[in-house]
Amino acid sequence: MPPASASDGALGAQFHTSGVALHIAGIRVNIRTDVPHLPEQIQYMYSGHRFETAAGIDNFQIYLSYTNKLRRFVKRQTQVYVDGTTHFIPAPERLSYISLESALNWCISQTLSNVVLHAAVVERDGVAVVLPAPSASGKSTLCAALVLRGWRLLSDELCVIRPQDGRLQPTARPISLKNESIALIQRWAPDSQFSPLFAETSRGTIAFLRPPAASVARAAEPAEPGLIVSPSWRADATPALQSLGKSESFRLLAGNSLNYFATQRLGFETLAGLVDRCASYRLSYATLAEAVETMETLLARTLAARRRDGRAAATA
Amino acid sequence: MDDAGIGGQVWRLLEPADLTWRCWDDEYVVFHPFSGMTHYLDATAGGVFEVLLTRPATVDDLTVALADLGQTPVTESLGVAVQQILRRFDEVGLAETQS
Repeated sequence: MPPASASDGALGAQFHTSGVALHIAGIRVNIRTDVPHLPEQIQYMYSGHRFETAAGIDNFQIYLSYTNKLRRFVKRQTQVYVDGTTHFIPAPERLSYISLESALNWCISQTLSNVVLHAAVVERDGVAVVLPAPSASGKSTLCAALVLRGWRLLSDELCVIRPQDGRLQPTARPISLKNESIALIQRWAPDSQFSPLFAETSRGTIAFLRPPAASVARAAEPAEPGLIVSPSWRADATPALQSLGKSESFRLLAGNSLNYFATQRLGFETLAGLVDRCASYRLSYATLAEAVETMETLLARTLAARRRDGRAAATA
Repeated sequence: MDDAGIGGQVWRLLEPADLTWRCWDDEYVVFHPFSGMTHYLDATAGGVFEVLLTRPATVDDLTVALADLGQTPVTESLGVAVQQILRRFDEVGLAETQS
């Protein structure tokens, strides 16, 4: 990890006092911590994001601290608080950055002004693709592979849908990769930049891929959804792209939503609107190369159909 | 409710103006605001729902309407299926019999 600059040092110090606010998906989260190394990791992984040091109206306040004074010296453990309340079990100090990422996910999923899905989102040529899937389906790995081939990253984990216009709000946060996926992506893009490896977590080894600067620069720019693709990786899978009916697609989205039941009618209308405007597929794959090729072919087909529809509308 | 009486009773949707739904490929997905539940209706249940959206109806009316929609003959098994669907609609608060 590169050293912090002089200005980063001043910013880093503020994480330990009044905290630093980060804007993500339309919410402002103040982050404060006693953990010495954490500000440097945050600044490295969130480079290019909008940090604010001035006081303002926070939607959430995250505080990451040691569980007790004794733990500061022996088997250090940290605890993350959101608005003064703990929602997570304490973790070893070396995993503090993972705790922070989990807390940020929690904050985004608590908002009721947007509908939030457990899904990755990427975009290219004006077509955003929602990739809803359970854990261990290869969603984040495929997302990383695509963004390292020029697709825009909106999120590897949380699809944030704006009810007012159905567009997708980027977060452009670091991509969480686990176990074999880390080396796979390092081979896929040897220049890719990672956080340190976090070994021996409850989910194995975790590392975070830095989001591409171009995606971070467009973090305030929502994207138009065009496709829903539910990926499923299996080492022995026969590559296949299977069309999904709209009712089944709705069920898939609702099942992967983090706040569908809380958002009620708004949630229904928002998800139904997403299904209305997207073609939906289930993608089975065994290698990243074939998955990326399938996604690029699907995108090309979608763009060609849009051009045909545009020409037909112009001549009508 | 016994089966003997159900055929002639008139069924209607409860507060249809408050329901939100989509119909995709003959299947209805209905959001029920009073329970917060989402109901996935297959083509047969969707057909019953579709008719009840337009007017209250008896089991016999619904059975005939469904047979018309599907261009199939009116059969006893279709009538039984309609009764089961209406019972389920009643259980989840989507429909009731008119008193």
